[in-house]
Parts: sequence; C-alpha cells; structure tokens
Amino acid sequence: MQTRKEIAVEMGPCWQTYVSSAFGALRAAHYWEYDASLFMVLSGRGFPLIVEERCCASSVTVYEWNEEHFRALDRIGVFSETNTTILHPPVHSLKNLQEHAKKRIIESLLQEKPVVIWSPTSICEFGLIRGFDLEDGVYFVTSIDQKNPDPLLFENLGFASGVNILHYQILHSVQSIPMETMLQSSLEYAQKSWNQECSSHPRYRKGERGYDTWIKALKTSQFDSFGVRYLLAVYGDNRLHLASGFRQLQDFFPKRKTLKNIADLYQQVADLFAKMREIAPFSPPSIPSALLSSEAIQQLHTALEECKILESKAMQIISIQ
Amino acid sequence: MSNLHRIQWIDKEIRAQRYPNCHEISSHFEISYRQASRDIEYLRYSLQAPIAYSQENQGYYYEDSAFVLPALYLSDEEKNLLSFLAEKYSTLHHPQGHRIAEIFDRLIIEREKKKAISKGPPIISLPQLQSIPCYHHIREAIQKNVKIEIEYTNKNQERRIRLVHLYQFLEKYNYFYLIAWCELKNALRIFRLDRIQSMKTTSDGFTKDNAQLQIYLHEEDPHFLALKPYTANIKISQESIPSNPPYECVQISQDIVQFQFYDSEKFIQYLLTLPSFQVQSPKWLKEKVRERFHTYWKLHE
Repeated sequence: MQTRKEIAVEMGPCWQTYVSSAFGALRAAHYWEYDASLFMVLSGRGFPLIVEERCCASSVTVYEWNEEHFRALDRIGVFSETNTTILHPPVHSLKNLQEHAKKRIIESLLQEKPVVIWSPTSICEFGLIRGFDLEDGVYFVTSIDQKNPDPLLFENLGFASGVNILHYQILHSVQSIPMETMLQSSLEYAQKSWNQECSSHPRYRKGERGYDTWIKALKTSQFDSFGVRYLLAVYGDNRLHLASGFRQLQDFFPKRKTLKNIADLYQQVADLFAKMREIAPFSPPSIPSALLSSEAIQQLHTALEECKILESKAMQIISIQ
Repeated sequence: MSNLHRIQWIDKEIRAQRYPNCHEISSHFEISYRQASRDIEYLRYSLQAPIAYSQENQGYYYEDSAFVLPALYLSDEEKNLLSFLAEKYSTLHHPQGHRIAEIFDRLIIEREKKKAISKGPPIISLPQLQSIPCYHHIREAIQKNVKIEIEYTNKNQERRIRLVHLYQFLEKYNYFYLIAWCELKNALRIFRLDRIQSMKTTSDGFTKDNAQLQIYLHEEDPHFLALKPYTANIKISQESIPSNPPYECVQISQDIVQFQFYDSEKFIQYLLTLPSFQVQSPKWLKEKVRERFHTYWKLHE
C-alpha cells in the first residue's frame, strides 16, 4: 500500500470557497476543461444569494450541502459522493466515522482526485485534501487563506475550525453531457434560487427575498458590518463570474442572442457590487471594520435596490429560455 | 515596491485631489486589485486615516485634511519604551511574546538606520496584542494560586464582574483562553483573554480541583477542546534541553524530547531559539524546517 501521496492542485479564483475548491478538484482530476466562470454558471453555484436577517457572514454557506454540492457537479456530468455529519452533539461513533472517511478519501487521492472538505484549517471555509502521509497520520490540505498550511491530523478531520462538521465530497466519474443540457439545468436552478424560499433556516432568505432582507437590514441599521463586507465580496465575485460565464456561452450558442443580454445585466450588477465594495471593502475579522456612515449605508441600499431590479430582469430573460 | 511607498503615493494623490481608486493604484504599481484594497484598508484602519470614497469623483479623499501620515521618526523616549517592551515580552517564555519582542527590536534597529521598513509595518492580530498584558498578570496570579476579579464581556456583549479561580491557559485557534472556576456560575468556564476588560488580584487563595478540570477538559466541552495537537520528536543535546519550555513536552530518551504544538510556524520560531535541534518526526515538520533554512540560506547568498 502506498503510504504517501501528494497531488498538485490549485484552487479556483473565486471568493465562494466551495466553488474554488470543487473547481480545483475537478481540474486536478481532469473532469473539467473550462474556466471557473463557466463552472460558476453551469454548476449553478453562482446564482444563490442567501442573506440572513442581520447579514451574518454564514449566509453564504447556509444551504443543504449534501444535496446542493451533489447537484452542482451532477449538472456538469460529474458523479460524486457527498457526506455530511454535524459533530455536535458529540458523535459516539466518531472514530468509525473518521476511519470510514479516511478510507474513502485515501482511495480517491490514490486515483489522483483531491477531495473537497469543510474547513481543512482553522478558517471556516471549504478547501481541499490533496494528499496524505500514513506514517505522520496527516492529510495534506489546500486552503484559501494559506499558501502552505499545516497538514490536518487524521483525528482532527471535521474539527479544524471549531465549526465542527465533517463534510467531504469525493469525485467518482464523469460523463459527457451536451452543453445545452448543462445550461438548461443550470438556468432552471437559477430560477428556483431566485423565487424559492430558503428552506434551511427561517432567518435566511434567498434570491429576490435575499435582496429584500439585505436592504431591510441596511435601512434599519440592524446588520453585522463584517457580514455585509463579506457578502459584498462573495456575491459580487459570483456575479462577475456569471457575467463572464454567460459571455463565453455566446460562443457555444451563437444563435441564442439573449445570452448577451443576461451577460450584460450581470455585468451591470457586478459593477454595482464593485462600487459597493469600494464603500465597504472586505477586511478580515482580526481587523475591526470602521463603522459605516449613514451616507455610506444609504449608498449601499440604493445600489442593492438597483442590483435587485437588474437581476430580476436577468431572471425574466432566463425564465423564457 | 514596499507597501509604505504605495501608502505615501496614495496620500500624495489624495492631497493633490486626484481621487485615486483601487483600479488606479493597482495599475500604477502593477499589483492586484485586492492588494490595492488592502493598502486602502491599511490606511483606514491601521493608520486611522479619515479616508472616504467619493461617488462623484470615483475615488478616495480625506474627510479631514488635517490628517498627516505618522512620522517615521522615533524619539529617544519612544525607543527606550520599545526596547523595554521588547525585553519584557522576551521574558514571557512564550512564542508569541518572543515574536512581539523581535518585532519591537526590529522597529528600533531599522528606524535607527533611517530606513523604510521593507515589508511594511508589522501586522499583529489585535486579540493577541490585547491579551499580552493580561496574560502577564494572570500568569502571576496562577503561580500564586489566588482568585482574581475580572470584568468580562461575553460573546453576547454582556459585561459582568466575575470572581474566578485560575486554572490554566489555553491557546487555541489563534486566541489565548483561560480555564477558570467561575463563582458566578459555580462551574468551570473558558474565558477569552481579549474579552477581559479589567482585572483585580485578590489575596484570597483557593484549592484547585484537578479531577474536576480533567472531567471538564474531556467531557464538558469536547468541541472546543476537540482539536488534537501535533506531536514532534526533537533531538536536543542534553545540556540544551530547556528547563521551562512553553510547550507541553516529555523527554522520551536521553536526547529526544516529545513536544505537543498546534501551529508549526510558532513552534519553529521556538525551536530556532534553541542552541541546536534536529527534527526526528514528523516528516512534514522536518520539511517545513528545511524550507525555512533554505529561505534563510537564499537570503544570505
């Protein structure tokens, strides 16, 4: 049995760390040949805009991971296995659970396929397991925040960040799916994300209602400043990728003129987010953010209202595709 | 190009009312947009610049033109103070204390040479920095086994006075914590040091219930304490074995000490303070140390 393995892997250039991790894993496994923007559109992961009542930074990750992550890769023809166990309250069969995960993860790594996991380091974000060393008892990991993070001890799997959830996604196989089918499935998902209630938690709203919740939080000054800055960074980046992804799709479907309209609308939304990020730039939690002035808050909710209108227009076009 | 140089350029542009923005900064210095944003954040948060964004002019301006960038000059009094602090923190017998001491030393030396700081001013995470004075007092109280009265703000921003019996320190997830018996809750609790607003040492002693502590560590809060430390076997010559190391350790043979640590960066910094050492295991740590020396070696070539 091979006792050590490392795979060269690079995470995708995205603020949404699930996307950057899954993209990195897919590229390393040679399951995806396009860029991160096309992955953002066709997997559907660029569309959801989930906002908690006080704009908590957790908004970005409050969804059903197993189902959503499985579906995201399924849309582009990748069959994967997702597994999530919340380790609170304590899991009595923890050792068995970790041992089972280890077996599956090592099998995947030996087939040159990195594994997506929740928080490989102390940062509450998704990342990748890119190798292992049985003698040292560690997984080699890749994280968004560090170039060369410390490895993860086998027994710390699920516990690295303090938000103790053991979540991993293993890539199994890929089948060729027509681009048309991928796009159709993704656009249907985009509409659902825009119109449906967020089922995970009553404090969180999705899509159009997500914008309403965000605007309300700003108008009533009942918001978490770090959360607002983080959401602007993540959702702004998603929209920039959506614009780029839809632009690229025009080359695949030259007859579908509406793709350009969708791309233009998302570009306008992305530009507005860029302006909002100038007003409320992201700063890490260790640096206290300055209070936003009332003028800045006013500018933010005015811009968000514009974004909501533009994205509604994009959804109207998507709905008749 | 140093971050300091860019900060000076941004300041100059703002004063000339040219309203620089992140796009212009990134293209002028050929740096990423994200790096340019960080420079603006540094100006705003670390240097307290009253910087605001003008929608009309699509760039930044000072809300208060009286603001000036901090001078690089240090008075003798300031140098003495930094030197004293460096000395103070170096005696903390803790990697974080050593790190701060090194930073203070570097500030004094580099500013003496009247050189700009090549890698930009040091960035110290605020919670750690706030914790250090507190750490020093609490350490003393733990040694004396006396109760202390703390004014503590919990995560829900509720501020209360609590009388606590100090048990032990804990450093996890880049924060210092204190495990103590809280008379208010009549139970063991974990307190984050940077949330202690003030403290008063009392003369009342107490008896530690170590059995209770063990139960607490293993059962009461398994999630907080679930993270297992890394274990490293380090070969150290007999005469260099530290008497009071800042890490949990056990001597497993004549010249091998087994350490437990959470952060390799800090642990390597500690190892570098020893006269000599050799990492026996794990392999990944050995590689990190090798990389570190390789970097140093390249710097001296």
